[in-house]
Amino acid sequence: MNKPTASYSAFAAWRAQHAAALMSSVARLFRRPFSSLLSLSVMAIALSLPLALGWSLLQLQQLSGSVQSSRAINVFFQPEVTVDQAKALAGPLRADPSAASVRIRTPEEGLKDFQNSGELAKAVSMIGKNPLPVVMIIEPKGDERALLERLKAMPQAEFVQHDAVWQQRLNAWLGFGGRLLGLLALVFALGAVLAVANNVRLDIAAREQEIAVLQQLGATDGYVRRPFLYVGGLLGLLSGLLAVALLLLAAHYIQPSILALISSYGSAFRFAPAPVWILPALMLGAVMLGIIGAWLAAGHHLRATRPVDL
Amino acid sequence: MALLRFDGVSKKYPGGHQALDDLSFSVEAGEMVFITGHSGAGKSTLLKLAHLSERPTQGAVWFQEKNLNSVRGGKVALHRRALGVVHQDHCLLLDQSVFDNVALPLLIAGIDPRLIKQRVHQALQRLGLDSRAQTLSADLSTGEQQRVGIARAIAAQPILLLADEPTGNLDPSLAADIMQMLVGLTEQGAAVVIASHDLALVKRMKKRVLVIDKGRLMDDISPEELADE
Repeated sequence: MNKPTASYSAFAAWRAQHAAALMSSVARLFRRPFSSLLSLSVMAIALSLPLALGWSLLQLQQLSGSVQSSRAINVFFQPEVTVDQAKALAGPLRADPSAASVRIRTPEEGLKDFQNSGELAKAVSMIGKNPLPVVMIIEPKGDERALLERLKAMPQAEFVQHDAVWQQRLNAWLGFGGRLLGLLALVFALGAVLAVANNVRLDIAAREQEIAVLQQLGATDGYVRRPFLYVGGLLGLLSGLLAVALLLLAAHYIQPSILALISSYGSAFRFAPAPVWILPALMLGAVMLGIIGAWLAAGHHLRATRPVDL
Repeated sequence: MALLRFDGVSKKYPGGHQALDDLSFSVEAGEMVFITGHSGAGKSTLLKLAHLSERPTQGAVWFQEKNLNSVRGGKVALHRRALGVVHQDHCLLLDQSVFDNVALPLLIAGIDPRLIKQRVHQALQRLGLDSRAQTLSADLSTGEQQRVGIARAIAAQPILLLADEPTGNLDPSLAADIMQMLVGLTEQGAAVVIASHDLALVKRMKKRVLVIDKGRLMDDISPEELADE
């Protein structure tokens, strides 16, 4: 009877069968190139859309981080208020539990910031006398509304700036975007699974007779399923690579116009690089989706063709 | 100890056709048994039950003293690996070479590739197909395909070989050669069960014959009785 020989271990047999299944799955992909390419493209698009959204959200988060300071309350003092007077006013605020930090920005510091900020530098250099007032910057702690009212009531304050509402709205949009991304990723992942399942289903339909012969000769469900799982995994891997290529191409195409738009606002914003784990995670995810799709299709066929009582 | 035993086996298909009716017999290791009868007598069903392609409606099929009714799931595949099967319609993978077809059951069983090569060439030599090893099975004649099917079954060195009309597409002299080869298998300890309606061949072989009609065992003729005839 057929049993692996002692010198040829079960592991070696398992390895040889996997190698044979891998080779056969590569051949299967090339045997139906149009169908494989179609599945590959559908899956790549399904992967690249949530990826593109994720990348956009990452950039928005970066932008949101750069405007985090807008949660701070800026008190622009009247021109006659000196730095020393401002420091004296800041003293009691430092002990206030609703203020996390209080600092004073002198007119000189303010001017230096302007000189370093893009196109404004040219305009600032043309001004002879520093027109900027002393500014007190307070980082609020907890609910800042009461603090804001007290600061507005200060007689020395010319103008009190607070962009928390804008920040809160941006954060809310980012939160919504994050959830939308999760939902879209789920829907598109399902689409990718179905694309692979359909490809494998066609492959199975074309090889129904071969599967029957294998089963007659003692092939287990695992043996029959294995080449199809490799087909799914390969489709996943290739579509993951294609999705990344599509995304890089799109980013390359769109990046100059976005940067031009941003720099027209005088911002020094730079695109955030994608985290290093994203590429292996994407590849692993794509391979897993491919395997799941193949597993579903092959499992369905095995269940459908097995006599009920076997 | 019987290698294969049918114990009061009946098989009724869902359409209502009674293929086998209370069939009982046993086959010893090293024995060659012919199953004869008209078309539709139940010969193929009998082989399918031993191969676990079907289940009996009543009774039990025993293989190596194990009730096959209790063999389920993944164990069915393991049971089939102990058998060699020659199908009436060859059941070859036509888009694969002769070598690959014969190697298939050995690959499935996880045999060492060097041993596979050796066993496949031996089997092909015995059937006069060694020069056709790399030929696509689709390019073979029906008789050659039949021989590839037999080579595949013997390369697996089965304990029990089930053959459904194994010489149906072969000329008489080749059929006789193949029968002698199957006798050689029994000399090595394997049992061979052959379903055939070629009475001339059956009489010539002078082996045990089970005669089936409408699913019932009508006669169990021993080799001695055939020799007397």
